[in-house]
Amino acid sequence: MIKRWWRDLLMVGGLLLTATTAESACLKIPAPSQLITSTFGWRFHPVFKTWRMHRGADFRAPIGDTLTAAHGGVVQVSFSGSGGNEIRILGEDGVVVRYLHLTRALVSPGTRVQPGQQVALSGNTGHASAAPHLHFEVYQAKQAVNPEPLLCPAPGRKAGADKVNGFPVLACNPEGGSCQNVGTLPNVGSTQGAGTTTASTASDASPTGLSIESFDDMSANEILISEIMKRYANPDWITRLNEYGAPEPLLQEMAHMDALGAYLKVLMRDSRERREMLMANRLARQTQADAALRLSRQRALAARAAARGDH
Amino acid sequence: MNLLLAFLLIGSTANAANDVKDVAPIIQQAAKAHVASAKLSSDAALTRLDNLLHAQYGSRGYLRAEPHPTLRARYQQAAWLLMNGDVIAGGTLVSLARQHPAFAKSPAGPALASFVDRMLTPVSDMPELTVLADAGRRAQRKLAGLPYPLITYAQLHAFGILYNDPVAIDAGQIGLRALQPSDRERLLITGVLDDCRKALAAAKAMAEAHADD
Repeated sequence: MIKRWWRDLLMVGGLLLTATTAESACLKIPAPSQLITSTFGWRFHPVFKTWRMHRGADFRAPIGDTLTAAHGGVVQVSFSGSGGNEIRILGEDGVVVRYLHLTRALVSPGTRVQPGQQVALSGNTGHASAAPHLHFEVYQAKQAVNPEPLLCPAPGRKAGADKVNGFPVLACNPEGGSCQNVGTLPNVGSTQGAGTTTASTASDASPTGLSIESFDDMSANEILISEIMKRYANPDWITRLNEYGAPEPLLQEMAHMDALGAYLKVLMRDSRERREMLMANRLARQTQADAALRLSRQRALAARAAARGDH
Repeated sequence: MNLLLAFLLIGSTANAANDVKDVAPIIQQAAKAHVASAKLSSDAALTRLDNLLHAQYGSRGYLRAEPHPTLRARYQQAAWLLMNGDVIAGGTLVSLARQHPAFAKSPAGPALASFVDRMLTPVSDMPELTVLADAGRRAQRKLAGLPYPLITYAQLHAFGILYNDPVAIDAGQIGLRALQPSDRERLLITGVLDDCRKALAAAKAMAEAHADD
């Protein structure tokens, strides 16, 4: 009987251990919305007719949402032109999670965090387009994997999260190639995924390489959101640039702001000229209308005078 | 409805006193030159689109089994264009199909329309699509003073450039050549097309820049 009791205890303990292990193997959902808006996988680009890998899952996250650590580990902080402000959490099991497009980190580099601890504020820095969101990546052995099945509890999905531009998101590249090895973890602060915007590229060292024409293809909305808001919403923007150590990011930031200021002056001048022209046209039309009215009255008076004279 | 393609509904009727007033045959004529370079055959494209509409859009029927012959022909042409990446030309044909009286009863039509509505909608992870959408709106504003049907073909050409659609570009050129715009109109259109080319180049650079996101 004692043996059976002991056996039952071991079995229950084993079950508990399994449950705990399974729970600790789960990643916590990093965004309070708990809603995936775009899934991991291959997406068709309707303009360039190519399939491109989306190496993470996007979560609904308006600017300023508090994001939490998906697992425990050491924090790294980074920035890239395309990903914007970024943090990574390096777990002791080799799993790395990556949060992109942040407004700012809430923890310093090197901090050891626990699962569920507040680590960052969401935003739309980098090439996040007009819609802020959290782009969340998971790497196992430095290879990108689908985060969704690793999250506990399972997050919800927005309707259409598995479609982009009408086409379904695919698990494997339909143009051939392996379904595995979809992407490796880029180095911290590297230009991979960084593009050519300021402060992140090492290839364009000239601080005078920017001109106001850079903004020609951006709408006013894009300029406001991407160029102004991401700096305004992130009080650590300049501090982070300075942390790179080299002067180029700060010099490029100065050139970028000068170019943006010049461009906005041109826009304002054009707007003023247009307003003045419209006002002048309006005044001219009004003057013409007044003159026509006076003329018609004079003619009417003359006609009446002529009629009295006939009689 | 996809606002991007809504502009092509302006005056797009089947009453073709002038051949180029009906856009659909011009698009079909332009498409012929691209058959050899297409990745998918007509049949393969139709099958793929039918499968996609069934799996993802809850289609109640099949495009290839559309009962109305005019709509069926239009769907087949649109499927070939859409699945081969000619989203403007294909989407335009679908927009025209939506105006047909028989469309309301078309089993697969609504699903196809939903698919087209979602195409090219700027999404958060393809910011270059926002660049292109903004450029499209600028082009529409600049071309707004042109008379119909010149405006239709100018916009078809412009959007064809923006969205890398050679069939739409060719259709636009065919229509513009037939309509013989004045020097002033030609100058305006040329300027808009140049702007579109710049916008596409900027979008491409942006897409390459964040390819790893």
